[in-house]
Amino acid sequence: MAAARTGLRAWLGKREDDAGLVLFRVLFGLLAAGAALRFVAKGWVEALLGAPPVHLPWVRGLETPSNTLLYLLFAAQVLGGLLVATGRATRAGLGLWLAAFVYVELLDKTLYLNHYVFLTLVGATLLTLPWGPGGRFAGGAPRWARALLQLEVGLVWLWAGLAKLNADWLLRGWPLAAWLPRHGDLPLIGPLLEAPATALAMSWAGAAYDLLIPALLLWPRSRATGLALVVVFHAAVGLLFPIGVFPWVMIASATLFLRPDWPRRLAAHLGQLRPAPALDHAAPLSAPATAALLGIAALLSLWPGRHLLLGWDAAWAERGHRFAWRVMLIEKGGMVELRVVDKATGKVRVERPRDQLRPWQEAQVRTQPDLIRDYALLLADQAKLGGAEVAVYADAWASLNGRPAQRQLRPDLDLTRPEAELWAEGWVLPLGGRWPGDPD
Amino acid sequence: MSPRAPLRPAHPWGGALRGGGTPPRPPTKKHLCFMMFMLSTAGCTGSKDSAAGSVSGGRSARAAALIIDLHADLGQDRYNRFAADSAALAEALGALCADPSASPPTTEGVEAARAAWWAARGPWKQAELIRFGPTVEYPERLGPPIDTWPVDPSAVEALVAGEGPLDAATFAAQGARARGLPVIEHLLWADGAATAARLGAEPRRCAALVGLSGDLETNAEALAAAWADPWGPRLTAPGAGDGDRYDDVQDVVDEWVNRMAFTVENIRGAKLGGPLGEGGGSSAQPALAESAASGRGLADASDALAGVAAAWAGGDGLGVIDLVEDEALAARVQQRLDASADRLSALPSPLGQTVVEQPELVQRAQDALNALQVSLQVELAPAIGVTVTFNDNDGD
Repeated sequence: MAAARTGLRAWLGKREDDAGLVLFRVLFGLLAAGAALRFVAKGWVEALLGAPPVHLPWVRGLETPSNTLLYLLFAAQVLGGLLVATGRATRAGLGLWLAAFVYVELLDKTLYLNHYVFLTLVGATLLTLPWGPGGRFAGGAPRWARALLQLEVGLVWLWAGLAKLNADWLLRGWPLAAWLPRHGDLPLIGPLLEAPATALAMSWAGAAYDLLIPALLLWPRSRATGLALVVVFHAAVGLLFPIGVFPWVMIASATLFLRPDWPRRLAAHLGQLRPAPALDHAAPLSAPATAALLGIAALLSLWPGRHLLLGWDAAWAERGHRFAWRVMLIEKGGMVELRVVDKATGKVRVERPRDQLRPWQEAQVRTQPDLIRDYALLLADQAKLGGAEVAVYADAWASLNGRPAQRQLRPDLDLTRPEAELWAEGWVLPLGGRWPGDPD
Repeated sequence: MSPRAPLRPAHPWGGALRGGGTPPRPPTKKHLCFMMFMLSTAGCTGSKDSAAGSVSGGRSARAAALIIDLHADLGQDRYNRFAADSAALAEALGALCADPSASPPTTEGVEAARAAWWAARGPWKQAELIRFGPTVEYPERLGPPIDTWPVDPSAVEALVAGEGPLDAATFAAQGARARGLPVIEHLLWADGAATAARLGAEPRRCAALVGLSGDLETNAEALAAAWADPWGPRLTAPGAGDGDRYDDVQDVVDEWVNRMAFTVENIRGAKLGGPLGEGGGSSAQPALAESAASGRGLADASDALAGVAAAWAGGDGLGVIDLVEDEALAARVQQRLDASADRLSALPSPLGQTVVEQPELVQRAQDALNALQVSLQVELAPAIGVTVTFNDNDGD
């Protein structure tokens, strides 16, 4: 055991050519800046952040800044990304980008994206690395740096693959069966995409891809195949589903699995010989640092599976769905209305999320229990401003992956009650459950 | 993040990113071909096959045929009928008010005008789910001047009491709440049995009716024309022209299906729920009933639902049902459509009275409509790929 610990510390402290990590820094910085520029160019700063009259922030009460400040936040992301890419002020750039990016992400829960979480995680990890002048690593990069990043990337694929091991995905081909026929008008492959068997085949292929790709990339003999698969798979997904920078993020991340000196070797192949850096003597990583690293690795590995450990329903109730790399698993239809009851007068009014939310916000709210509750709390806060205490009840209906619609939330529970109480009361009805009096 | 299955009231990120409308364009080859197609195929769809021809192939072929059929069988048909009925209404009002001094309006004449108004209202309400295209988009945006509710009686009465002209051009310059079907309804019904007498005593009131109906006729004709062109190509061959509102066939299918669900919600929430007092009061609000003066509120609701049923089942061509593979779902939607229609038709008229005297009957109709909306919005949309799924800022 002691020998294993010593061996692990020595391996983590080992120095290696930093060319691969440096190139990843450049790619990350460019993607970070590019994503921010794209957001601005699409007009989303105002459309998604500035214009909506209300938001559902991650931190209750968090105010959305003015448009001017919002643009400054995106300018900070662009500047931060460029500083990271150029290596002129890597840490400052990462700190600037991270602060601005996370702040924007906190403004509205309905804008949650897994790949934004992934970018945040990688950005935070990069911030902890011992960058030297010029965005390089003096004496070579510590092995633990690339190992931690590899773990983060590998876990995305691994948990995404594990999450696909369910009956909807493997036996019914859902939700791909609903999404692929939308592309039936594509030349050549269109008719193929309309065939139910295609959805099933692609489901199995997708699960196999997610589960196998980390191993394919780690094993030197299959690495080239793995990399080619990454490029083809993410390019195809990017073609079928416009998902922004995500394909580029994953393709860039896959380079972390290549030999650490791969950019230098590639340059040499192209006739641009660059001398390899002198590597420092490999001092083992300290025991506390090793322990911290292992702790972080354990947390990163287990957190996405918390719903399994705690018995939560991540698909229907969406408890533990976020921050778990559960990608492309859910096709939900939803409909929700809220009955706002004045506790003093007993007067009831019906509120629809569409009344205040933008379509893209409402689209998220109507299918996700915690967002429905957030909206109920917003209504309660608004009523309180007018001097009224209200209870808010939901008539929420949803359908998961092509199943018949059913009521999603108990209609008799006041959603302004503490969340823990609601869970204790079983506020999300079980999948397949039926509330008395509801239509068959 | 997992993609969601929301129905969308508008394109994701709304019209703000796409602009509020497109400038008028000269007819292109595509426009002309479409117009020739419309002329050549009008009335020639004798089977369940699509107007575009016998549909073979997969879902995308059916979807492409569906949007052509819905445009023709539902949209163009109802708008053409509405234009014709509006012309008939203008004729009836012209006859009623030809010379109020020499030949005072009669009760029979008023009844004939009311019947013409009632008839014109039918196709218009059956097309209520078409809250896209020229009814809402600029530069046409013809929906508001045709039917904005509730009416602003004071604006109309001020015009009548004034001294200026009361021709169609006058009303064309008015705000939406001072023109269109609801204002004509106000003038034809507000005085009850004394309407004919008042019209005779106040010639300017009669002149206002003629002016209003002329304005309505102009707008109805413009709507039918705009629906054919430029909106015909946009809605039947999307993505092929500059400034098209829709990128592809699925975009247009989404629009139709979304509007079906929202129309049902509107019937349940606004047309029935509003008068029931769901807006915040604890008691009924009969004044909020649509077409309260004429008592056509329930017929309005039934017509609107009939439009949804027409989009679902199709006419001679395809309907949305033809995209549904799940037979149980198709049967459920049909059953809930029928149940909703039955409960609506079972409600005693006028609605304003029923919400006060028998609110439980109205609530039963709402329950049926709620179940229908659940089927359309929560089950049907995802089942036929009507989802926002991913969009440019979305992802997994």
